[in-house]
Amino acid sequence: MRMIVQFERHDCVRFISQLDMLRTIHRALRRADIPVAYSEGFNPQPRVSFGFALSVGLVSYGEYMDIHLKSEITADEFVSRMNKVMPQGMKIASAAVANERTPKIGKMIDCAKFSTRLIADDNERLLGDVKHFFERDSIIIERHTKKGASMADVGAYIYYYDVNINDKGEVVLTTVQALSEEMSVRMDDLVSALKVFCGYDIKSNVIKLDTLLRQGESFISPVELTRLS
Amino acid sequence: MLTFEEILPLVEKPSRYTGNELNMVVKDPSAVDIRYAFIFPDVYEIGMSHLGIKLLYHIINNREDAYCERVYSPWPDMEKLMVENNIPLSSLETGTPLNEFDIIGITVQYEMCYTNMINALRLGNVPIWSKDRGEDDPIVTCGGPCTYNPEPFADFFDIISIGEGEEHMNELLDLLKEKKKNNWTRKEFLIRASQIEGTYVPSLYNVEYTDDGFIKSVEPTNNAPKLVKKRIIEDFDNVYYPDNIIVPYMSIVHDRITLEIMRGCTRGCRFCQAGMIYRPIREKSIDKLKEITKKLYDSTGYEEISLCSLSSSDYTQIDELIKYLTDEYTQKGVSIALPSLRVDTIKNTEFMSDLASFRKAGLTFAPEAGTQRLRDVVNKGVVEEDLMIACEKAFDAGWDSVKLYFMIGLPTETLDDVEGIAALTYNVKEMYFAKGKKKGKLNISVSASTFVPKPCTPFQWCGQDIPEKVIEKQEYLKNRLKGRGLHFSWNDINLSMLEAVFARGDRRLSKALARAVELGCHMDAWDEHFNMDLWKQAFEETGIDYKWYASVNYDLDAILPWDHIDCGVSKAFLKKEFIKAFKGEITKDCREGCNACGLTRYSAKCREQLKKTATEADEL
Repeated sequence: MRMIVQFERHDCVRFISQLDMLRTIHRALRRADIPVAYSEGFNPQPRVSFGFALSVGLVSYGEYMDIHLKSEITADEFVSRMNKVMPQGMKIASAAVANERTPKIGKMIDCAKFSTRLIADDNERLLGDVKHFFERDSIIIERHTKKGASMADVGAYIYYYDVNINDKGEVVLTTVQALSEEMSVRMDDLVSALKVFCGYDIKSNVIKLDTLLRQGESFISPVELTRLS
Repeated sequence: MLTFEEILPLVEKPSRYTGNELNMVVKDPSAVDIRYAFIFPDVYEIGMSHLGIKLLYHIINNREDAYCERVYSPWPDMEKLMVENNIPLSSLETGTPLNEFDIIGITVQYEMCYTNMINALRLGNVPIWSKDRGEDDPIVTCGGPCTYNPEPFADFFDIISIGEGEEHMNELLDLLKEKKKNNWTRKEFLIRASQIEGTYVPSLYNVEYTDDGFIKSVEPTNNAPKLVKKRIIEDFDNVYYPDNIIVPYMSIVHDRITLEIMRGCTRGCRFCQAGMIYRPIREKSIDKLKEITKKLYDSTGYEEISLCSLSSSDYTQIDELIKYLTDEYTQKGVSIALPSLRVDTIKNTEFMSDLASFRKAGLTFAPEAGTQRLRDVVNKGVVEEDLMIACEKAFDAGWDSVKLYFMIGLPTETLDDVEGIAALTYNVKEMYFAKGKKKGKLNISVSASTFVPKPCTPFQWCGQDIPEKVIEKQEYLKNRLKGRGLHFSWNDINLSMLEAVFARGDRRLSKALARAVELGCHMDAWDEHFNMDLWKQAFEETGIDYKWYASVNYDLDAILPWDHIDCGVSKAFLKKEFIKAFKGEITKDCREGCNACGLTRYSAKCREQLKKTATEADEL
């Protein structure tokens, strides 16, 4: 059987790499004695796969993985057994048992949701500028990918945004943007472009809230989708 | 100025500094009497791999009255940012700066970490010299194999623990608690500490030198012992072993369960310090090992188990142990690693073919020297046939690469012995081809490190080969070991020379060490950071003739800088072995008969063995 699992990476371990996370999950699976399936071949590995890599340094509440199991186990049992043995800093948030119709994790994801705190000397002014920045049809940013830096219009790839001021007087920006093979809008790049647009000092702190799939005008998480399928 | 949080994204591998790993001990620091900072003076990946620290970390944290936290050397990129932003070196557990701890313990594993340990104190705002520390500063201690000659760093430490720390640690911490309760002065505490067996308090000893640079006398004061006896654990089977160990997020050098199956070695190789200082030999029972393995596996989920000892194949029930581990754990996807296999024991073991099925990493064999003559001098007890059988077994079991480990510069070595290294290598190569194996796959890595004479060994009186001679031998091998399937590696002569200086040096070296740190020497064990020019400058400015220290031949009757440390093996035995070495005479494994090395003073088992040997001799 196959399980779709949502997990979190908290602040104190936000610098670990994708490989570190995979190893951490492998070891947690052993400690929890989860009947994980192994790959065939010379050097058998637990059959666990992640979606898109999470940037080093980012806190996330919505990362997902696919886990193949040798025998049946309920989603609730999986979550509770895993959370008893997870290290400080990582947690299993939810899980759902997949069926044959459930796509692979990579196919269930096409966007990501972020919450970004922004602080400037004049946060009222910043609020207005952020609105202006997103209201435009064309949002040109400098994208940094493995291939290097290039300018691109990502206007069509920002699927949702909302901005307001929290009770501490900080500007809080919520966005949902593309995360796929074809196009990914990195929050770093978006915030950098925003800073250039504003032209004054802004402190920022980004948290990834979830990884999602677009369904018409709304968004659905892989675990929700699995439960529905 | 940036905060620690702000510099983290700017450094290479920030997870070296963020802690919060699985099984990290969390305590309320205000609820304990003793706060202990344990420093491994190297980068996280190295320090986290070390077994001793894992043992002591949990031994201290098992006490309700103490909290032990870890500190590793920052990598130079981090160090630079810490200094620029005025951020002191702090613990991983709670981010507490070093100078706020009651006691600091540093493990001294290797000569080229000496600058790191002084640098760590400096970065933690702790005065580096013992004499400069005030009543409010932490007590600074160290332990580990290098403390068998503690003199080059003696002036930096308040207390140096000699020998095995499992019991000594608790006795020292009990005394420290008394100090706090009774408001003893630092000096009062140190004098009392010196009465605990295995405790060396350098400030209580006066060292005088002869006009020609040797030791004239070492005199204890305040009733400190004339000879500091090392500590050993008599009941090794029942000594504390942790149920869980910290599992890091990032990949470390030895990222696995380490199972210490045995301590000590009976072989008596004359160059080997570990073989002398970890005596007597003690094994853990197979039942105890099964129990430890289960607990550690359940608490860590590690995918590899490594057997740890000086010579794993000497463990009495090695075949049974490996069979058990294989049966029980390989089905869970766990592999078993078996470092430290002696070449001559492979022919008698069954497990070679088992291992091949799940571990294709390289195998290392250590003939140490290229000719039988020289192997007898160093008492290696290995013959060429042993190596050929071992390699043949490895090739038959599916390995295509082996690593051969040798030393150059051993006492009495000539170019014939060096040629022996090449000859042996070619014999292995031919044997591989004779098996009809594919030529392209073979990989023989030959490593020849430069011999560093170590204290507490029969070669402690010998100077190191002078650099010119070493380089000649290295060049010879570079030319001989060329071609497909062969890879030759060697050590930087400067590094080996400094190791020799600090391995057998005396207290006068501490000035040079401190100066080297000031000049920026650190992470000397890392090629990219080792800077011989700075070292030369440090020696020059402090008036130290370092080449003398590396190559000096001590007189057999001379007082050696470390003579007041009793490593268990007696000086009389070492002298006897020194003389036998130069005659090319072998000393047998002491399990075949006691060689009276001096450990009878420490161990009941050794006394039994001595009695048995004497009776057998009488009967003959």
